[in-house]
This record gives sequence, C-alpha cells and structure tokens, in this order.
Amino acid sequence: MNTFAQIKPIAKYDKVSYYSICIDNQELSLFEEFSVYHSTANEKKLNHVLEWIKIIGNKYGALPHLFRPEGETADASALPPKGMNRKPHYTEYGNTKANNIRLYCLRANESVVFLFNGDIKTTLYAQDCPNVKKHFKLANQLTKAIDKAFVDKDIVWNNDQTEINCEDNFKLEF
Amino acid sequence: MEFPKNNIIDTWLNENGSPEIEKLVEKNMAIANKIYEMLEERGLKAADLSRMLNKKPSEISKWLTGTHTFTTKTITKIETVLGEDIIHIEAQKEFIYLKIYANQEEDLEETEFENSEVFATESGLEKKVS
Repeated sequence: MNTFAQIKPIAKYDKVSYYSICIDNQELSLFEEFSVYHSTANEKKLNHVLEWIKIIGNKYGALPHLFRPEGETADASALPPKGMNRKPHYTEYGNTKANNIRLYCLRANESVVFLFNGDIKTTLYAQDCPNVKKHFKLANQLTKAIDKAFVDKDIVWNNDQTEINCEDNFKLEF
Repeated sequence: MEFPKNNIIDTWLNENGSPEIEKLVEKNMAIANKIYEMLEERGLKAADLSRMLNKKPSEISKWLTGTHTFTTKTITKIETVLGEDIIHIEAQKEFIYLKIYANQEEDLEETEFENSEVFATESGLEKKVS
C-alpha cells in the first residue's frame, strides 16, 4: 500500500530554506518529531545538530562537504557530516565524544534542504542498526519520491532556486 | 509555500541551547571552512594536504567537515604548510573616523565630536579618513 506525505516549510535562513515532510496527514513533521524526541532523550547531541543546521543556514549554505552521504536507493544525506572512516565528534563536559546521532536529510541544492527523522546509530551500517534503520530507509524512499516530483514538475523551484513550491494539495507518494 | 513566523530551530536553541556548544560549533566550522577555502585558492585537494602533513586522507576529511575540534598544534601545522595564518590573534584596535572637507565653499556647521574614550597608544591607532 502506498504512503502519502506532504511537504512542510520549517525554517528560512539567509542561505538555506529548510523543509520537512508530514506523513499521512500528521500534524508534526518528521523533523519536528526528531526535535521533540531528542530534546529529552539526547539534548546535547540535538543541540550540536541544531547549531550545525543554523550555522549552515546562516553562513555557509548547504555545501556538499558539510553533509554525510547516506544513499542506499537514492541520494539521501545526513547530519552531522563525516570524514571517510571516522565517527563525528562533539564535546560534552569538555571531553570529546563520538556524536552518533543521525538526522537524515536531502540536500536538494546549496539553498534547499529537506530534514527528515533520525536517531542514535549503534552499528557501523545504518541498515543493521535497530534505531536508525527505519529512518534511513524512509529517508531514501522520500528522497526518491522528492527527486521524482522535481522531474515531474510537481515541485518547482523559485527563480533563484532558493525555495521550492508545489500545489497546496500536492502529496508525495512512495 | 509560506515559512512559519516561528523558527522552531532558533526557538529551541534560544530556550535550550548551550552558549558553549554554539561557540564551539561556530569556531570549528569557521576554521574548517577557512582551510577549505585556502585549499581551493591553491588548487589543492584534501589528499594533497594529507601528503603535505603526512596524515591519513580520512583525518583531513574530518578536519574539513567542521565537526573536529582543532588544537593549536594542528592549526599551526596547517598554517605552516599552506603558508598562511588561519587564526589571527592581534591586539584590539580602536578606529577613529574623521570627516574632512577640503576646498568647499559653502559654510559648514561646526563639526561636533562625541566624547569617547580610546585606550590605545598613538602608534597603535589606525586612522581611517572618509
């Protein structure tokens, strides 16, 4: 059975417009679910991710090297960014620790990013992790559906490609 | 599509964010971005820098993402091989802005200067004239 989803604008910064997705007419988007859940479960890790989002949005734009590739069936990404063979780190109480939280996303271009959901990754591969597997799979499904919507012109760019637009009743199908 | 007036990311950070994390993320990203720009200006890639520093390419990639917390030792090594400073630590300077009118025929109102305190030696002052 196919699932339907709507695009929800989240936040607009000077250099990046952030969007998320509401599944099956739910009020909270995937990114809002992520924020609410990790506000209590992993506050400091969430703090780092939100700072990255804000600074990328205000200052640098969504440059490719600031995101980690997480493609399986589509060109999904995630925050925090990564080196090739290392864990991302953050500082808690002055000590450097691995920041294993993952927020899956789609970097449509340097100015438009879709933020999905994520969780704490506990295994080397996302497909093996009981926490992030579903978010990773969903991010790839949504990325594929959004890419198709761009091709079909259901989602269109504004003139300078800094925002997107679609019909009010448009639903992604995946 | 209209963006909500309430930016939930900024709101969360204002209510719950740590100023220390904010500064750390900001500085790490600024340093990483500066190194990225320095490499681009020189037509170099991360792999070139890894060879210059005798480091693994994965370590250089890590530096460029903005998630790495740099030590001054690492920064100095990068500055040395790239021949340019990443961080500039200089004494704070006070600037005095003067407006000078030359060969102007019409009467000018007497210039009023605000009282200000400038804590600097004469040689340390940089004067900008507009």
